[in-house]
Amino acid sequence: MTGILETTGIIASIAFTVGALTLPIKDNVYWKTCEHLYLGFAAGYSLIIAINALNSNLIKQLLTGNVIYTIPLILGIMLYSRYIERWQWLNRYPVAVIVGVGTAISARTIIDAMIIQQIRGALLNPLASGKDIVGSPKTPINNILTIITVITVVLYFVFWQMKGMDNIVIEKSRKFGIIMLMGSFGVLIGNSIHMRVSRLGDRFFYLLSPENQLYTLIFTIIGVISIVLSGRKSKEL
Amino acid sequence: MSYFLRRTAPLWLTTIISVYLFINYYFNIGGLQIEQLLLSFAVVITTASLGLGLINLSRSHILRIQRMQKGQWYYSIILLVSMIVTIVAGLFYGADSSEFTLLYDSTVSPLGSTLMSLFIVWLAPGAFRAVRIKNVESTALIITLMIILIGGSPIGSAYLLDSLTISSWLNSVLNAAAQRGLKITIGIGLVILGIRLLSGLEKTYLKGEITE
Amino acid sequence: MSQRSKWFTQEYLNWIIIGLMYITYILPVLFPFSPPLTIGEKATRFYNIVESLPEEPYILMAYDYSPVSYPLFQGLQEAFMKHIYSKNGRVICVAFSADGAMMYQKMEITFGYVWNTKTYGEDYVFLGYIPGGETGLASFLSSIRSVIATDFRGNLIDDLPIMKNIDTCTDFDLVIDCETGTTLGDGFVRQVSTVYKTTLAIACSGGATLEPYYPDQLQANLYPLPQVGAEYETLIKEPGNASAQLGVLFLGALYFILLFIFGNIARIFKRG
Repeated sequence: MTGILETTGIIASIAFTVGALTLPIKDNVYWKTCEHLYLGFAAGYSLIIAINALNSNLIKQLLTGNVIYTIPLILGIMLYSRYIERWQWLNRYPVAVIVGVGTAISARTIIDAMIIQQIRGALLNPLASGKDIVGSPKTPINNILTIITVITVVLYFVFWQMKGMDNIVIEKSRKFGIIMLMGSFGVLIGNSIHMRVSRLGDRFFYLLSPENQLYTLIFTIIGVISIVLSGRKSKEL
Repeated sequence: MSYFLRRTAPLWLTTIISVYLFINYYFNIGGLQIEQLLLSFAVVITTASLGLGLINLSRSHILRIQRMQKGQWYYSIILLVSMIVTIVAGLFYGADSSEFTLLYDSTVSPLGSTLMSLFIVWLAPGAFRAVRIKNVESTALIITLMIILIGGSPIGSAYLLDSLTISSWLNSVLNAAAQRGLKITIGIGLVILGIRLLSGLEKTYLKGEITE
Repeated sequence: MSQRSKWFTQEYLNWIIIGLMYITYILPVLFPFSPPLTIGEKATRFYNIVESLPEEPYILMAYDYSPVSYPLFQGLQEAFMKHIYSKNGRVICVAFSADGAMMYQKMEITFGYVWNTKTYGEDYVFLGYIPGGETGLASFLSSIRSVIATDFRGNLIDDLPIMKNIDTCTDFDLVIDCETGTTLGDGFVRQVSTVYKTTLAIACSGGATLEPYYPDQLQANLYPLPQVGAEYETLIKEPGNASAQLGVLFLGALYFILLFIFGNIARIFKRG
């Protein structure tokens, strides 16, 4: 029984993978079926995981004697009052708790982590040199470039609504800042491409592994038939 | 009273909770237990909110089936059936069971993986057509992009060791400095947003019209 | 418009680009090859951090990635498990994203051979999914028992030997977060590093955005994946899944470099 289930699972996963790979070629029935199956399975999965989490962080807490957890239980039920028009306003209380807690949790540490520590990291001694523990060695050029880049990037955002103002220092600083930002985005995109290459490569590894090749061929043929039957008009990419 | 309960009280609740957590963090007034309780309450309420998305999804697709929306209603049946099958399997076998894991591995995992990884398929024609050297900014982007593509991949690691040094410099000096500036700016913005929420100026998170 | 330039605007060019890309992916599967690898600074630093941990360390490992990122992390996590178990480490696993729960299950099934000498509840445990994002993380790190009463399998936390002296973030020697994007990366730095000053390592696909925190607030920033996973496998002398992906990574990166170059050259010809 387990063997049959596992084989069915492998066939299903190959079918869904091939179905999703037909999307860039053309919108077709095979892909749309896979898409709606995915939405259904994902929605059901998220509910089961939520029930599991609720069991652990609420039900079991109540069963072990922590009656104070009736408060979030009531607030959680109040969330669903949004579907009853007369009682919709009750929904605001649990939202207020979530927003209040979330705001405080992040804002109280942002001041240190994202502002003070970052300013501290930018205020380097321009003339210091030596071996750094990370990345490139600490040199005066690196230090000066870091200080200037941080200042100009902050200036770019602080003065972005004042484009064209008659101050050459700010204009040039903003220009330098955006060039450095674009360089940084190039780094981000380059790293992102590496990871996306690996993600799609893994899908091909899976489809073309020796034990899966026959199923891949069968579902590829189904995919091609589905695309052909969906009409000859090609989709503009 | 009605206006107070509907509009003002939730705003005050947000403010009181946030101010308490702030003060407890910075001045350590000994309210750790209350803080832990508030945090765990927020977690429980967030868990309960996970069902809202499911209800909204089900409602819209049931409507499509009722209206026999052309070209859509049969897909909606597929969606609802697959959702019910997953829920029944999860409740019957349990979320930690091998059967449920197998169901996830056969359905959500391959579909989600392939869909998300398809982004690079659309990126490729865009890389050929759209990423062009037009001005100083785009030149900076393309040059750093190419160096990272070489240095951050086995190409640089195997054959062009200088690219490793340059890409390491780009990561630890240029990128770090620019991202630092971004973080400072974002941090200031988030603190301002937090103050607006604390003071009740920001009310958009409470649904419905608030006129005061 | 000339006949030649029409080619560049027609959709045939898209099919050629996508077709060539598919071939780029198929080739290393059919003809596997492993390019030589140079160990970078990030993998070395992470290796040294793990080596410097005390004997029988307690590790908190967060699974916050979706199935699409599984190939990025599987090599790194497998290598890490082997490394930490060589030091008799205790690993407490948790998920702050819904998909993370299944990613843990998948890891447990796929790498069962790493765990088979270890006992669930004594050497490793999975506490399940904690919703709420950064709020859930903060709550969990403040007091585990105030957030959850059981693990993912339904066992009471107080009945698990591994959780005997563990309740807050300060009880861990190392916190590792594996995530897609940087949704929680900043949150981990803020909650783990700023509040508790615990050693933190993050492996995420958007690691470049966390570079400002490195190395003061973030002791190990593991990117780009899976390259850094392959380097780490080489350091522990056990090549695995990450090393097997180097061929695809090599050709994929080369293909995009050529796309960018020829795209700009084609623009010059199109203008002419």
